[in-house]
Amino acid sequence: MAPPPEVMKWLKRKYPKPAVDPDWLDGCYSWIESDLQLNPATELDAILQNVETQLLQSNLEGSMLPGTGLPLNIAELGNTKLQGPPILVEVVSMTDIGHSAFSLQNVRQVRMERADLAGLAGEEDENQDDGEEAGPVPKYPRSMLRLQLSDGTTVLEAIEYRKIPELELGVTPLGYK
Amino acid sequence: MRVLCVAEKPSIARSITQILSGGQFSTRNSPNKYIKNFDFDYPQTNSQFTVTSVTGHLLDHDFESAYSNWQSCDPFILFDAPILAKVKKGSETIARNLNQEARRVQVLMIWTDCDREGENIGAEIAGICRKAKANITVRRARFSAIIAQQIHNAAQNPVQLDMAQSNAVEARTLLDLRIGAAFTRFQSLQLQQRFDQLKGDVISYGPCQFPTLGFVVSRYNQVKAFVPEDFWYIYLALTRIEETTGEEEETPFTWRRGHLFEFEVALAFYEHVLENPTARVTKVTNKNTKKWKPLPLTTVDLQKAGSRLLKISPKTILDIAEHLYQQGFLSYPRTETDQYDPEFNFMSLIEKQAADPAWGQFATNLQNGGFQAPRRGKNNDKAHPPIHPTAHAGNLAGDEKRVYEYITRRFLASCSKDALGWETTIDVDCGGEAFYATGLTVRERNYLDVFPYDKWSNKILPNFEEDEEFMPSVCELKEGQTTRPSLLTEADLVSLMDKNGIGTDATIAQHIQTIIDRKYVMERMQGATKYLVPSTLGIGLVEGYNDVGFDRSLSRPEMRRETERQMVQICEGQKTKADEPRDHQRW
Repeated sequence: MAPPPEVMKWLKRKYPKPAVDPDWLDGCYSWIESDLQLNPATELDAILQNVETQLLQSNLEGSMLPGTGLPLNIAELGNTKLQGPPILVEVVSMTDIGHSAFSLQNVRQVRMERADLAGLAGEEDENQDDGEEAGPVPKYPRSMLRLQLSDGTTVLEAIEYRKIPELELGVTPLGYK
Repeated sequence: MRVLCVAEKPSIARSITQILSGGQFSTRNSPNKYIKNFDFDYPQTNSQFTVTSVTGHLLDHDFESAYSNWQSCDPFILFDAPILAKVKKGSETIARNLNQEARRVQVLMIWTDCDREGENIGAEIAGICRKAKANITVRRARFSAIIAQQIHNAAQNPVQLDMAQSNAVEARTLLDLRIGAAFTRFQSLQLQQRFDQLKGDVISYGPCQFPTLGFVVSRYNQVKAFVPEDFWYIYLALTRIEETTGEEEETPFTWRRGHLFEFEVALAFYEHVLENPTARVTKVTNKNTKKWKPLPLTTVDLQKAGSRLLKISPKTILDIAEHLYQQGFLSYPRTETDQYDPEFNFMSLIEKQAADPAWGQFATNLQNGGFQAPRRGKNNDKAHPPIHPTAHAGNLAGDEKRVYEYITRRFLASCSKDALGWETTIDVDCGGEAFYATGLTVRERNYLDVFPYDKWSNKILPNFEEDEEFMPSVCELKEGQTTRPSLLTEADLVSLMDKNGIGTDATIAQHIQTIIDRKYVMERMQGATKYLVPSTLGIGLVEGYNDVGFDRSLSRPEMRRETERQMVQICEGQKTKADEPRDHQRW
């Protein structure tokens, strides 16, 4: 069923680019209405919150209309700053190019082993100390993140020009928007 | 009251006798040709003392003879088979001496080294003496250095033998015996079946050796698999004529982004900088900086330093330190403690070094106001203080001299002040990218004067003013490659084992020696440094065990670390001896 105009207006204001695919929105809203049993007249805020959660967890390829986000000729634009409202993108790939693959691989190895041990320790008896005697799980070294961003249609190569502390290799999941 | 004192080695018995008797003692022979019994009066406690010794452990643990034939039993039955403790072959005369002497005394005082093994040997001695005189009183003398004050104090204030520590050692001994025997048989038999060349060879297994070997193999594989990676960075430099000398001087500036592993990205930054190539100084900062004086010395640190700086292997350096301890020159060299007791008397020890031709002057300066209490590390095994010199040794030679020198210089350095310097940082903006350069002036050398093993030198930086602008003489995009990691040195391996809880400060060096003796690992020289390389057999064993697919492979350190941790828990009374083999079987 088609969502009420308040929802459409709110989306257009908060997430103008790319444009939300109406088919996806219909499906999403129906689910909210039937499964969560929310009443648009009285519980609009709750509905909007749920729509937003679903949107941010979605794969933009499915939830957005193609070509309504990043300009399609972006590959040719050199040295320009994009005009207009901000564009929602998601992280499809992330690594660090300030450190060698060798050092990143070593950290990854240790992290995997710690995860294995933590999983196994959980299965054994409870009197055992937790894995804390081995020290904290090591973080990836941080220099310059290298990302691939997508609006659902176009993939953009990106680097971290100035540090964005909210992003962290090994913590930030793919699909982060 | 008659007291029988038993030390761990004849030389220590001699030293103790010398101190307690003030030189007035009589000597008797014992059934053993290396051991003498010394008699004297000790009026301080109104007693007559007899001092003798053993030569390390007296008892051997082994399976009953029914289990000694390799083919006779499934190796895994060995986990439950009964183990007998018998007096070692060759030590019967020592046991007999103890037996004879114990009959004549009321008190037995144990003077073995004050660590877990010593406590266990003490329990063995007590066991043998009790067989001769069931109601003999057993006491333990505690000391950390063989010097008069400590020895008299130990004789006058004996404590109880710590059975918790002794039990911990016993538990570990039995466990190692079972696992070692079972796996060695299993492993050797299996391999002999498959490889004719190995018939007759024993491929031994030890629960500490394997993780040690595991580290060497891991690093070897890393080095073999290494692929160099290319990186790029912007290099900025300014050449100016130095005012005083008239010579040209190039000041390099470091890019704040370090280096990047993707060419297009580095190029994009570089081209951007070239559009606006004038550099401007954004900030000039001056601040105090210091180089920390060394921490108090632990066994592991001594082995690492000895290996790296003195080129002496960890096992040898521990043997030398022990020998110096027995002669009364050093405190007990097996310790994990890197902090001194607040009541520790530094001055009297520093005083003893004032006579030395090389560092005497420095020691005297410490006495005249240069002293500053040593830093406190994070570790305290509560048994012994950090390693320090207890007396001045003027007549040493060769490696003994170098080891004593290192320990003494480090001790004096730790009682001195940190070195102080003045650091200048110049921040520069060029084409939107940030660069910097640093300079250092050493203002006070302090501890560095007695400790030549640390280096700190001046780095001159020409004068720059804030907001000054200049055109860099060099602005290039340079390329480099990552370098192959090196194989493990002995010092690296000691570090790794310590960090992962494999072996104790006393046994780490031994395990390294064992894997070399068993030919699992070879030493290879590259220039002046010795590296460890696994042999084909060593690699095969590790990979074989990894492939078995245990969730935690036997060559990884976790299992051994767990065993050692449980040993500590036994010591601290949290677990009993019986628990540990049971827990271990679960693995």
